[in-house]
Amino acid sequence: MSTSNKAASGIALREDSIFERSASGRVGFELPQLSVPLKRPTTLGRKKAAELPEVSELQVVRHFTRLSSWNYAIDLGTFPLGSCTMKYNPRINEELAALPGFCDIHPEVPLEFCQGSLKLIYLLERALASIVGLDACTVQPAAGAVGEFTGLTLIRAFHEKHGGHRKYVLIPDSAHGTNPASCILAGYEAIPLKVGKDGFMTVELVEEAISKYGRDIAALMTTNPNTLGVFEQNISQIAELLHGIGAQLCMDGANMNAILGIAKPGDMGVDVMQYNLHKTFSTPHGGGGPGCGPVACRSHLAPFLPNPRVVERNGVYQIEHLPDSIGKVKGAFGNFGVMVRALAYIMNHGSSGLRRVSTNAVINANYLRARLQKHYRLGTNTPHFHECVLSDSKQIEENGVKTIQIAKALMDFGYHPPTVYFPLTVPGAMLIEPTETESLQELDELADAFLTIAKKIETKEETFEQSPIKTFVGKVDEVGAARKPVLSLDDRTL
Amino acid sequence: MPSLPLTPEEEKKAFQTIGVQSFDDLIATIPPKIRESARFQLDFGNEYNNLTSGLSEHELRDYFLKLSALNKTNPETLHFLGGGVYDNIIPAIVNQLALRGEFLTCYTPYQPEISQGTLQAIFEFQTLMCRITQMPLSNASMYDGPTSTAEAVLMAQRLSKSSNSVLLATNLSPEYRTVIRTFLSGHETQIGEVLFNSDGLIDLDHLSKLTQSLEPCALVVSYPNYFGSFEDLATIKKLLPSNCLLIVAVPDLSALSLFEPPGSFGADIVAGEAQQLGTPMLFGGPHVGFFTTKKEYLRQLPGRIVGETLDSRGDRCYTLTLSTREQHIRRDKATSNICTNQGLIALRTTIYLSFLGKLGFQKLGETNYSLFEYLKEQLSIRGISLKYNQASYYREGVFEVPHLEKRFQKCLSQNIVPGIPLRDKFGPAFENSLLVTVNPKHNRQQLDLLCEVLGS
Repeated sequence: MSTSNKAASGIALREDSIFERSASGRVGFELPQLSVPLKRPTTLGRKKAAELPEVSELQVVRHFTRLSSWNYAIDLGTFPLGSCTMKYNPRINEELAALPGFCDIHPEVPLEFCQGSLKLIYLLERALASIVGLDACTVQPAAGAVGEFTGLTLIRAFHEKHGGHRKYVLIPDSAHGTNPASCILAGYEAIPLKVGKDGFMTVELVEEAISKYGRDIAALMTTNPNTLGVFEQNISQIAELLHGIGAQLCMDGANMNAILGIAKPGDMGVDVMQYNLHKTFSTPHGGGGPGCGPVACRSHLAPFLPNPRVVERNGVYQIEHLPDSIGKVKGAFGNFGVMVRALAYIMNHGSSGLRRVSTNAVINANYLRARLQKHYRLGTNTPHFHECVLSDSKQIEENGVKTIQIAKALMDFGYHPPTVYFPLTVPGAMLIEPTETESLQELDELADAFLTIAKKIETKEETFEQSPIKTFVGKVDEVGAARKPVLSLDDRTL
Repeated sequence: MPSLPLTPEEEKKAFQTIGVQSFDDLIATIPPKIRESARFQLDFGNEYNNLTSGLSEHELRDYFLKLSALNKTNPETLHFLGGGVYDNIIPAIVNQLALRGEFLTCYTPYQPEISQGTLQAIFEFQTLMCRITQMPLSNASMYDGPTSTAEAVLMAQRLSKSSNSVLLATNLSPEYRTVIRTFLSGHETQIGEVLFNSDGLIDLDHLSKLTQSLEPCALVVSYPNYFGSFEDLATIKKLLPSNCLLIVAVPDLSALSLFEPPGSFGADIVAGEAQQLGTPMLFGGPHVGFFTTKKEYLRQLPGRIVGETLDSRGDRCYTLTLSTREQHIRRDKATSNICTNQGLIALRTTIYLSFLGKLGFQKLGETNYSLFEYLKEQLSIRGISLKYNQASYYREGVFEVPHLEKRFQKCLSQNIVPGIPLRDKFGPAFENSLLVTVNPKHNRQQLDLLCEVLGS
């Protein structure tokens, strides 16, 4: 049996929206019998009940089970999605996050009722700070983008307290889209830095920006390894330059999976960074969240961290409010359930296990690169860490086949495509991050699929214009969706 | 390590294929000084003060069971807490279905051909949010109520050509107000605080004065407000100049099962929290924010949206759409920096609301309403009355409890948390004020117990 193509046919069941299963008067879930007299509001009562579906338990179960069967997921196969770290999500973590002792705690119970939750936050913040070699950490931000905003707002508060507001944040052009968007939210203007073909920042590039913008620069925001999977080897000198003018080095920690135990941002001169627990620490992506975007920083930024802070005094966990805090970036303490999973993951691996996570992630990415580079051009020749980037330039030049067709063709081989057209600095980029949880056998099968596609293009056997064809639905008309938006069932005209 | 499959043999094979001798060759671009100091220590206190090799699954379970046991929860304790986070009865199928690997371990549905399950579920979520709030347009979810409301303010600022000042009702949850202020801290924004009157409701005279002096682009009002009662949205809407958007924060979406939705009063944006519909309290998260608005504001909507379309075979299908608003396309010109949202929790909400259904949703509202009515009556018999008597309530309210501090401690000693004391949040006028909340898990016996302990 050929293993490079995993896509087989089987029975997948069609299903309308749940509303179309409805029958008037049918009751789904039963609440307990009311133990007090029934009352209804006399003023402001809702005149017309919300039209929710009226379905049975089995109908609900079938509906969502059928829907689930139309998704691709890590549990089904390899997910080489660059910059997203789609690694396996250990199931013990789900069990632990569902413990009643964690689930049934309201965030405003008196402190003596929630010592377990407070201790967990305290331990996780401490572990996250030591992994990156920084002094303090907050786990409050709900996702990476909020973490970026939090980090930048800490910098803003610091500058406002010491010498006044600064205007600009320097961002390499290979950065995630959230970086410039977070800058705007934090009140900064984003200045893009044009990175050369080696794929990393040179000292001259930063010097040039400093001579132009000087002390109006609040910070430089970089991902390291960057979005090309390349280590910013001049990072320490760049940090020195920035610190020389009182600016800060802010790191997007989206790619921490490459450097656990291999390099500490604190040793590179980073002042503040955010993590993505749903990437590096294996909390599930869940079809787009929930995430958690902790922020770690040096002591000079710590007085501005979001409130409340969890502290320990003689074995008792308490909360404190910092007078200079930037405020709050999320309700309560943050996405606590995500924190449980992340701490479990960290404790399951230990410090040497976490280093092993990164070494294996780097080996896997380089192995794939080695297997693919004969048939695909690389985005850069600089050594890659946990992800590698290919370009479609060879396929376009020789046969006019683009990245989007290669991506859709991969679906017909049973894979999720890599991240495509990102980073923007590589034409027709395919950013591949296999992660450490894939075995070599799986990587070989994925590589075979990539190579089969490349060969079919080379021999002009296929152009993959029609791909995907094996998927549950055919090629989706995304242009039509935007032209005539149908965004709820009530927008339907047919 | 079960999650790390690479064997030493395979590692050797990998190095050969790559063309390196050892791992160090792969990371040679890291300056040696940084490489040499990269090790870290994991200190988890007495139990594991230098955890190097990691815990087995059994040890892990044991550790976390003990950790969770440091929390005091049901059934030994009884609480009457709300204020934005609510205990609720979660049907078994919600957990079971949301834990399916195809939902749990899938990615943001950027590739529609292999993400139809998630996409259709989000489309149904959007439909549910529109119908419950009576607004025509919903996005795919936000982090939570406070951040969703903050995004609503940012959207109003983008929509306004002339003003970026905003008004916040002071009877909006203190947490919502703090989060909004933090999200606005990057830009110069004049924030006016609208006071509440002796009924705990927005002071309409003060509102009129502030709309004249500040010419705000939006007013944020809470429905129900933090004190548990409902504002007269129709009158408020009439008072607002046409260029001032009415943002209604709904910290408890279940209230709209029973009360007239903000859409029927002309709200421009309805933002809030849907945690109480099928998601555990979990010490405050992950929960799920929703965001609904008018169609004319579509291009300024933050976050992801799913739309219906056709595939190449002519069949109905779904896709993320109108992404040119978003950060991955527009970068610094995006409507928000939000990327990851609360996908899985939005799915939970969709499953829960589908199962509860039209009648179940109404019954949920009636249960909360009736339990609170009973509690109100019983507490008043014991001399504990509502601080604001005129208003209409759903399931929580502020009570004036004589000798609150003493009685609160007495309740705690019997493992009852009677509510949230408001002194620290609203100042000395709230010395004896307690926000008491019911939820569908409560029964008459438990309410009687609260009355007995708090009332004597």
